[in-house]
Amino acid sequence: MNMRRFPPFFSWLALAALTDWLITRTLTRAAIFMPKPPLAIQVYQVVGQAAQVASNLAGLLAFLALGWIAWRLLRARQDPAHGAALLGLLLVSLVTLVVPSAGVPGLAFHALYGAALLLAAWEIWKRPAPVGLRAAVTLACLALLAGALSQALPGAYTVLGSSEAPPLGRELFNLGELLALLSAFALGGYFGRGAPWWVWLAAGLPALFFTLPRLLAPAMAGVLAIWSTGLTLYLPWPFYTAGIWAGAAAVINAARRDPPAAWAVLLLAAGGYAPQLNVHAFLGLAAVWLLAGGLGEIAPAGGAASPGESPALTAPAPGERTGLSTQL
Amino acid sequence: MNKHTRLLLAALLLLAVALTVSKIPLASSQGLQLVSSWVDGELPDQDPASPLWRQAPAIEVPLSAQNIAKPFLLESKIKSVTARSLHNQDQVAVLVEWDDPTRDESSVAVQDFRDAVALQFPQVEAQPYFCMGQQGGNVNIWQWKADWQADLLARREMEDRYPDMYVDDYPFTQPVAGALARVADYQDQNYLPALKAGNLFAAPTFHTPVEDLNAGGFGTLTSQPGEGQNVQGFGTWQDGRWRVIFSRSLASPEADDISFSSGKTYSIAFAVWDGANQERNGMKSTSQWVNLHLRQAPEAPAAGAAAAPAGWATPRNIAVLLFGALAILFLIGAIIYTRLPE
Repeated sequence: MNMRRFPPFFSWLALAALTDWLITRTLTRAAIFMPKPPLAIQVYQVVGQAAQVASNLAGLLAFLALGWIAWRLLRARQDPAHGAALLGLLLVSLVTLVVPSAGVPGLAFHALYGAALLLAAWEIWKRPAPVGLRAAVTLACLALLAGALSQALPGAYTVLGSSEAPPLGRELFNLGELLALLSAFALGGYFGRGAPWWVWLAAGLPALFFTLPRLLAPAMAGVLAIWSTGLTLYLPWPFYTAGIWAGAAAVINAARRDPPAAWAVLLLAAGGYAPQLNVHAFLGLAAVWLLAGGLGEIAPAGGAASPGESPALTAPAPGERTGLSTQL
Repeated sequence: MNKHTRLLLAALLLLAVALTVSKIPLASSQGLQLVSSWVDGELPDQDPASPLWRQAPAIEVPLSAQNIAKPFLLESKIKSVTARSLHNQDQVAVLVEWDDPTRDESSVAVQDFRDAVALQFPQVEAQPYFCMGQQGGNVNIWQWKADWQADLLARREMEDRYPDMYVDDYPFTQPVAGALARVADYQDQNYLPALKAGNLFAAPTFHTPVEDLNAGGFGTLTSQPGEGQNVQGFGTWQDGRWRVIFSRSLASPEADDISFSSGKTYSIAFAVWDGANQERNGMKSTSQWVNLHLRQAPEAPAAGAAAAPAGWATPRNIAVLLFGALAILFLIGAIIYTRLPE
């Protein structure tokens, strides 16, 4: 994995986040659908404890990674507003460890989270970047923003002293889910472009892991999808199958050429849609920062990019590899 | 991986293990939160129109059809509920509102199904499965039933629904010819096994429209015994909208009940049944877990007796210490990073 230009905890974060996502939030929760002889219960308890350590490690690393990104953005004075938003998020998150997140702290978190997402989306439009990448990052940011808004509105109404329930919460949530799916297509379209046939074949496996349970046991698939990714599957299931296919193709093809870009897409998936926990929101923020320019920012000296231009964000020439960080 | 990096990884792993063992959550929830407002004095536990409810922030909780365990509900007719909560020094109350164009408050005839709403609370620290809990993750359920409330005012029997009905004979009873047998008509009430077994559905009278239950997974739903039924409820239907209030004392001496404390956060989930859609049992619309935060009671004026000083090892102090350590680790990591060769 070519992440040596990153602090080591970025690769650990990616691994811990994957463990948290696939083991803690998916496999151990699938236990409710499994027969439970005593041995299986013991195995699940051991796996659950180990996964809990991985979740806490992912949390620690997410704090570290976001702190590092904020520090880097502030130090470079390139995008101080983005850095300040991330730093503010960290501070609010530290406060909410000891103070309930209801009311102002929760609202502050969502405001800073939304600002950080908008600034990340703005980042990709400030630089020369391929249209496909711009579309993918913008859609991902908007999806996360819609999810955050649907979560923040009740808190905002509470802080403003309104006794009414906010309108459009469900509509915003559903819109965000649609955007999340579109961002998976966009990521697949950008990173999977020109992929050999076997990449698409391999990418079909995760799609199959979703589709078969969805056809055989739709209820179980629905519950696991919510727990695992935050998606409610309100759209017809073939869209989700196609989305997983496209996302998996993006990861596999990026892993062949630009492993850090693959990790960024995986971090985005591991964070999930409309995350309930702040550390999962951090995963999404780290991912969109990487995709929006962070990978290019970390390019080593002597890269092919011209000064002030991120090699990762330049549009590839015809026939050129399409990765984010081919020069890394 | 150089020595410093290995040390950093080891320190982080140790910290993660320490957090796991000490059960200190590193993550904080940013999801939907129902805030229970503090009220001085009596709670409006039988008045959904009370202005006191306007002090409580409302949240709209999305519902989806239960299609995990049979019988499934294929499509949810009720898409969301609006919830508010109030509490005082003794009691907590939750007001749940939802649109329902039909008022279904009878289940006397076999083709009748009642409207109902339920609240669910985990009895463990974590959030178990949101539909009826799971093995090792029991839940406490409060279910308000429209027919029970209607029966509180006037118990209805089959003959109320079918006034021309005629009963030939009930064994072991001597009722008036042609009429339904009442409990008092039985010479030996052991011939009413459901009643003798304490089944609340067989009770001749209800003292609350809310059934207090426990579950630990599908097929484990168990009603608490009659003496444990300590949740009160009151519902009104007006202009196509149900408004139902649940209330109970904050603390409960029963092990099967959830107890609440001011200033703390719990989890709550909602379920609604639409009788007109023939919804019953597992055919319902359910929500995911939502946080329920009981606002801290206002500080009482200092009393004569001083409170016992808390030890230093409170979760708050431990969290602060851990994050102090994390900040130092971050600084060390930053220094290591800046010294890495290009």
